[in-house]
Amino acid sequence: MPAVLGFEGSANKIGVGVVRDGTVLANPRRTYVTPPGTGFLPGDTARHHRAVILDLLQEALTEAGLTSQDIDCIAYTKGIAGKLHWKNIPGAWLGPGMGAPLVSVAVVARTVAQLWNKPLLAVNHCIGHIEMGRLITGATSPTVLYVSGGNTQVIAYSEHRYRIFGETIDIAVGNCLDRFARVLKISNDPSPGYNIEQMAKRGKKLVELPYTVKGMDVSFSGILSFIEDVAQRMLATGECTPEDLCFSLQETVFAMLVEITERAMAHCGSQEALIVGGVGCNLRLQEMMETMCQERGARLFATDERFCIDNGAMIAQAGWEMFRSGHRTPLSDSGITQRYRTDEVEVTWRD
Amino acid sequence: MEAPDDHVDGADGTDGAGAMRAPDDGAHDAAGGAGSPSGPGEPGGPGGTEAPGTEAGEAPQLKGASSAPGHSEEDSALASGEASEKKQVLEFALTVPFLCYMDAELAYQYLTSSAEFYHEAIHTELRVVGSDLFIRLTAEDPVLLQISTAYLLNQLSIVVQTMQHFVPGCFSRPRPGKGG
Repeated sequence: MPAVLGFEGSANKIGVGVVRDGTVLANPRRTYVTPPGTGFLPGDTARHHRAVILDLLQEALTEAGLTSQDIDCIAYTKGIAGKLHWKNIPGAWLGPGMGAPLVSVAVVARTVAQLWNKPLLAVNHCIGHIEMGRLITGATSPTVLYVSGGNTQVIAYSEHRYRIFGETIDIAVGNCLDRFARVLKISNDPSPGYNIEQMAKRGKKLVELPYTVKGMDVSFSGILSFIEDVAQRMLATGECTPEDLCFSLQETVFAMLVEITERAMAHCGSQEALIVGGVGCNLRLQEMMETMCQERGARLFATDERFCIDNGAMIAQAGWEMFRSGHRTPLSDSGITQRYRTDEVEVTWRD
Repeated sequence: MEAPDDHVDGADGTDGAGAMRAPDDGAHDAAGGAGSPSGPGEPGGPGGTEAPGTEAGEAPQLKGASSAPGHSEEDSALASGEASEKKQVLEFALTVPFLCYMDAELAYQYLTSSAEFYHEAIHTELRVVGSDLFIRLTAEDPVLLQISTAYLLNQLSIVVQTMQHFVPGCFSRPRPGKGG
C-alpha cells in the first residue's frame, strides 16, 4: 500500500498532498493572491511558495497522520503543457509552468527525497489533473477537457499516451478570463475566474464577441483583445454592465470549448467527458457541457474545487500510478521544464 | 533567474555549525578573497583561477585600470583598449561547512544536478572535502556570473532550510567561544 507525497507549485497555488491506494489522506494548499488589476509574476510567486512550503509539508504529514518513514515515494511537478506567452512586463511570462515557482518547489521535493532516502518521481502537471479526475469521478476512459489559467486542451487516451486532439493556439481560456478580470479590476480573491462567474450570473445582455474555433483548436487572444478594447467604451456609454460582459465572455468561450470537446467525442466515439483544471470548477461550463453530453447520450464527469484547482494530491495520485508501474526519476533527470507536453509521457499504468 | 531576496540565512543563522562565508562582492579572485577555501585539503590548490597579472593575496584589478587620480585621457583610452583585448576571468568561490559528510554530499548532489541550468559560459566547480562543500563559479561575463551566483545561492538556501526543518540537529552545534 504505497503512500505518495506530491508537491505542486507551477502557478500561484502551492499544494502538498498525500495519497495512499486511491485515498487522499491530506491535501492542504495555499494561494498567492495579488491585488485587483494585477497578475502574478514568477519571482514574487516563487518567494511566496518558498515562504510556505515547508510548513505546508509538515501540515500534510500531520493531517495524513504519517511520518517521513511512512512515505514510499516523493512526486513533484516537473512541468506543464501548453503555451508560454510574454506579457510586456519585465519577467512576466504568462501561461503554464512558471520556472521560478516550479524550481522552488522542485528543490524541496528533491531535498526531502534525498534526506528521507525515498525514490523521486517527476510528474506531468496535466496528467496529474487527469488521474485525479479519474480517481475522484470514476470515469473509465473519458474525453478530457483540460481548462485552466495555463492550459486548454482536449485529450483522450490511446495506446499508452494521453493524445491531444485539440488545444488553444494562443492563450488558455483561464488566462483570457484572468486578464479580462484585470481590465475590470475584478478582485483576485479567491480567484478572478470565480468572481467573473458570480458576476456573470447577474448578467442579462449577451454582447456579441468574436467566436474563434479552428477545426479542433480554439483561439482566445482575439476575443480578449476585442473585449479589452470595447469594455471601457461600452461601460462608459451604458451600453452594457460589467455583469453583461462577464456573462457574454463566459457564454462565448465556453461554447467554443463545448464545440471542440463534442468534435473530439464524435471522433473517438466516446461516451464520457471529464472536465479538469481550475476553470472546470465553473458551474456554467459544467452546465453547458452537461447539455451537450445529454444530447449525445454521454455522461459528464467533473470534480469540485478541492481537486479541480491545482493541488498536491493530484501530483501524488499521478505519482502513485507511476510508482506502481515502476517509474523512477533519477536525480540527474529531476529538473523542471516549462514545456512538458501531455503526450510526452508514456502511460504505462493503463492498458 | 533573479537575485535572491535574502542572503543564505540557512547556514548563516544556523547558530554555529560554522559560518557560511558569503563573498564580499560576489565576483572576485579566489586567492586571498573572502569566502575562498583555505587550510588543508584546499580544493582550490595549484592551478586555481586567478586574474591574470595578479599575485596571490592581491585584490584583482582590471588590467590597465588606474587608482591614481588625474590620469590622462590618453592613458585611459590605451587602458580600455588593452582591457578589451584581454578579458579577465571572474570568480565566485564559497566554502560551506556542514556538520557531516552526508549533509555536504546531499547539498552537493542537488547542486550538481542543477548545474545544467547554468549558462554554458559559466564554469561550475563543486566538490565535497570532508564535511565542507566547495563551490566555485567562473566566467568572463560579470553579469552572467552575478546571475548564476544568485541562482546558486538561492538553491543552496532552500536546500539548507529544508534540511534545517526536517533534521533538527542540523547546524545546532554552538560556536566555540560563544558560551556554547
